[in-house]
Amino acid sequence: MATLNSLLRQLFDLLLSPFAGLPSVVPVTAISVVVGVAMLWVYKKTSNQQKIEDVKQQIFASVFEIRLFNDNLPAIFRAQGDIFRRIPRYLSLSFVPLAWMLLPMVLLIAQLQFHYGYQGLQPGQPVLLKATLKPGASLPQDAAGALDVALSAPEGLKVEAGPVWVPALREVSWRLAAERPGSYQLTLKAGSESLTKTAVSSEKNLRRSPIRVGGALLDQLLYPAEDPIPTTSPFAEVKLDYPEAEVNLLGWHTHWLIAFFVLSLVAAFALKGWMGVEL
Amino acid sequence: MAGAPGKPRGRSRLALAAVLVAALAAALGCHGKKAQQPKVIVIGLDGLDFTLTGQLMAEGKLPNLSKIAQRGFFQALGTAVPPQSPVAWSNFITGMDAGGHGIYDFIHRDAKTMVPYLSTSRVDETTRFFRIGKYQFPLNGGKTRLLRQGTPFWEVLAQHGIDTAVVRMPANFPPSGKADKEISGMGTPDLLGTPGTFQFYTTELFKYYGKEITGGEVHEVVVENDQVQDKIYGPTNPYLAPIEGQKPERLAEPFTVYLDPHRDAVKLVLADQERLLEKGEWSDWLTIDFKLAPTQHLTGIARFYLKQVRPELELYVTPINLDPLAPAQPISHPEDFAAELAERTGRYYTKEMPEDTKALNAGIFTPEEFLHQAELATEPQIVQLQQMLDDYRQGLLFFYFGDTDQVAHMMWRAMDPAHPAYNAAQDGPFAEVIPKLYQKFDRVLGYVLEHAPPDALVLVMSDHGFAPFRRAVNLNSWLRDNGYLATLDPTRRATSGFFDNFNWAKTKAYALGLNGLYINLAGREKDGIVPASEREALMKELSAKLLALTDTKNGERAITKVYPREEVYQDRGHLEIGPDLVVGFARTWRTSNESALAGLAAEVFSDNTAAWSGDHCMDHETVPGVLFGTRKLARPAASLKDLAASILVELGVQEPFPPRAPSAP
Amino acid sequence: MFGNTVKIKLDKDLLARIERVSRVAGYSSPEEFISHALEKELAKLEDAGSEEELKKRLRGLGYIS
Repeated sequence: MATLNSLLRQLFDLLLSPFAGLPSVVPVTAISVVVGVAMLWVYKKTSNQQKIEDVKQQIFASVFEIRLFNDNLPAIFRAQGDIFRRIPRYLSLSFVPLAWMLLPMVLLIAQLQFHYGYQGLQPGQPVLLKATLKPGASLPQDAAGALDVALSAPEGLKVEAGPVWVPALREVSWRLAAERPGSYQLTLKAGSESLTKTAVSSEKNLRRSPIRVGGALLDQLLYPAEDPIPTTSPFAEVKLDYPEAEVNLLGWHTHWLIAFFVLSLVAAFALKGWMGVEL
Repeated sequence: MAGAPGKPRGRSRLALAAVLVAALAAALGCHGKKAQQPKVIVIGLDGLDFTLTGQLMAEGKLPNLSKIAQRGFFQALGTAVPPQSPVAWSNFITGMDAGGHGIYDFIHRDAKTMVPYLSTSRVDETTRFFRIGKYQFPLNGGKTRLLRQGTPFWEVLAQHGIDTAVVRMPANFPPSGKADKEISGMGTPDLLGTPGTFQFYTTELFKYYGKEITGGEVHEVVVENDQVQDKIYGPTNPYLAPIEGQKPERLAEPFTVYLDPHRDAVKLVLADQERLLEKGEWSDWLTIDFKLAPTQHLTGIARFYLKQVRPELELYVTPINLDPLAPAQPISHPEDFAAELAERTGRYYTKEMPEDTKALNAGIFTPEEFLHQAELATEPQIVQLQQMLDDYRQGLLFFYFGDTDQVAHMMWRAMDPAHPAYNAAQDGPFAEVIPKLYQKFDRVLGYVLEHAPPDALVLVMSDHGFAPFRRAVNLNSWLRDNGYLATLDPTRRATSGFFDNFNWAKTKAYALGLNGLYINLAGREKDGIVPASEREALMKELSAKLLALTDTKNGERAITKVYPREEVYQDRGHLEIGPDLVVGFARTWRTSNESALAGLAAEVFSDNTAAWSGDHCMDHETVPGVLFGTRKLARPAASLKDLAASILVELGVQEPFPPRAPSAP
Repeated sequence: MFGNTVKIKLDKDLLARIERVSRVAGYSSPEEFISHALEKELAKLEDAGSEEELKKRLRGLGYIS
């Protein structure tokens, strides 16, 4: 999984780099159209187009029947029964293409989320870095018995406060602020173990990783923006509270994912005739 | 609005358009904006003292004010009777004295009920509700009304097509709605509806127990497992139907403080907001979102200050301010002007007089902490002035600062070794605080001079001066000791106020507010006993005795003037609201805290030992304000109440001000 | 604590909890904790009503120290 994520990360960084300086609505729209087309193609290739057309015809026929025999109650009930019987069949026919699309979509959305779901750190704007230690494991302590966890921040990124150790949450946190834009790498040390975490202060649409997660498969699937934390590390996860971002879709400020769904559906319906796909 | 900030390239076209619009408006006989307007910038510095300013100028410490004085003029500006900020600024705003605008004191009373209230605004009570289950939804009331009467001078300017921006004018809450842009200042409450209520969380039990703390609440908390869980309290929930015999429930928002077991730092969690605070650090503004009823929320903002972690946890929370980005009640006109001011500064204090004098008085802030907090409150205001100057093109810009008043109240003692509570070791280090504050605002004025258009008239004004407040006079105790005020239980010599222990059936006069003395008049006061025919004689008798009153400590006269309202006020219309007599204390004397709230003390005179050590609620002749201008005024102004008319003239409006009411004789 | 005092019956478990909490909170005795807690509760209930709100508002003026 980690290798796949690493490859996908590099691929998406490369593909999306031409859009980095543009408002996020531009790449989100472009991707939505491409994805709309891709979905149609997958649908066409993986579904039984003939059967879909047949079931749709039958459903339309029953709808027509209801209109035609609107004074014949038994006929209406029969036609309605037919519709209700065929809808599950219609849905089951689209299940196969949807199943084909599921995994690629999850991987795609997970990658895009970290390009368009968060804003970069504004210079001067404070942000919390929170590292959680694995439960159960013994705590790294110094000679005086205090928690031995340290953070070193590169030039340009200032540690304003912390570490603050909260035993109840097994969490150590710091408050940081970028002094100037840049892509930074923080280093956390717990005893002799160390771990890095990226921090991006930029107006551009670059990949930002709000969480570096552990090795659990689901976590890796959902948070692919950074390599998972090695299993030997005392850290469970490290969070950097990037503010969330919105895209501006003709004055409608919304989460990029909503814009993506709307735009890709619009694209798919607009292009299905041209591509000869039965939905 | 014509003449609004435009890019230099487009300005000539904008001006042309404005001329056309103005011509069209003139043709239609309505008031459009004038294309070419004179320019007047007025900077209000509350409480800037005439004597101290002159002295610091002579020492060369206020170069920018000296520059203005050389180019134009510098004079004393006569203040209001009595010289209290809401009265004084109302004099300026309306061109009338209290007889006309109806603001006589910080505190007024309703004679029919004998309930005191804050003088400048009132909330209409809700009398009708729609009830569902435990909730009640108000059907009427709840509206806040500005009680200042008269026409604000910017309304006349607006009628003549002059651009107007009025920032934090006191006694203008809710905003009048007559300026192009205005935001309210003094008189603006916090979310609790008070002048400001801080909340303080401490693990040190009993430290504040039994002490009367005003303007704040102390919550004792306990640390368990390196955690403190408590709540921030809001006002009572107006949507919860009252239950007979139970105290109305207050809104509360829980928060958790996690203490680092080894370091003096905490993590603060409030709803979905997380902050780290090291000892001595201030948080930014956090949103406090109270849930009132399904779909109904009440939102404010507050900052947290981690005063100390060990040995005792001490966490201060500012009064909950109305959020300038989404105020729970209108504080600006147009409504989004409050948010516009946040453009460069982010959120800021919206409540009146944000310097937390109460926390210093209660001993929760040290003087250093108070001064730091005052700076936090003032810095955004300075940036906002810069923003307003960048956007300024023409017409009127009024901008107010209250820091010069609030800090002077708290730090005056440091310049006054004769003060009864002066302690050289403690106060000595702060001796230069007020002069340095004057210098700071002199630098602000330097910025104004640099960035104002060269043909603009820049005026700098204050509403009153300052004096030491060494001795307090309890006028109610004096009335009692001289047989004018009777008590129900004579053994209870001291009361905390609100007419407690007053025997109205035998009381002829009472004091309320910082300078007011009222006759307990039959037919006017709820339990009045003095017939109208005896009122004047009684007022004369009281005046004569008060003028002879000497301080038991040094034998000096404590009162220099006593003004009957019918003589001292020229304007009419709202004379009946005011006190019958306005007491003008001699320099260094003031009404005691208890007397101001209609309370009694065992003795008439007492030392003022509070941190609040400078004041101005004395005889108005002893505490004049200042007026500076970068050029001489076409129509000179001797006192606050003349100044607006002079400003109108400078802005090309020749009409008499205050405007005469059409029905007036 | 001196002078006039009365005895009050408390559930044993409750008393145990009070003893523990009062120790943690730094009270000199469970009695002190109980009196303090009751005083605080009473203060909340006794000064009921809008009159108290109004007084608070007026006392909130900086001029009334």
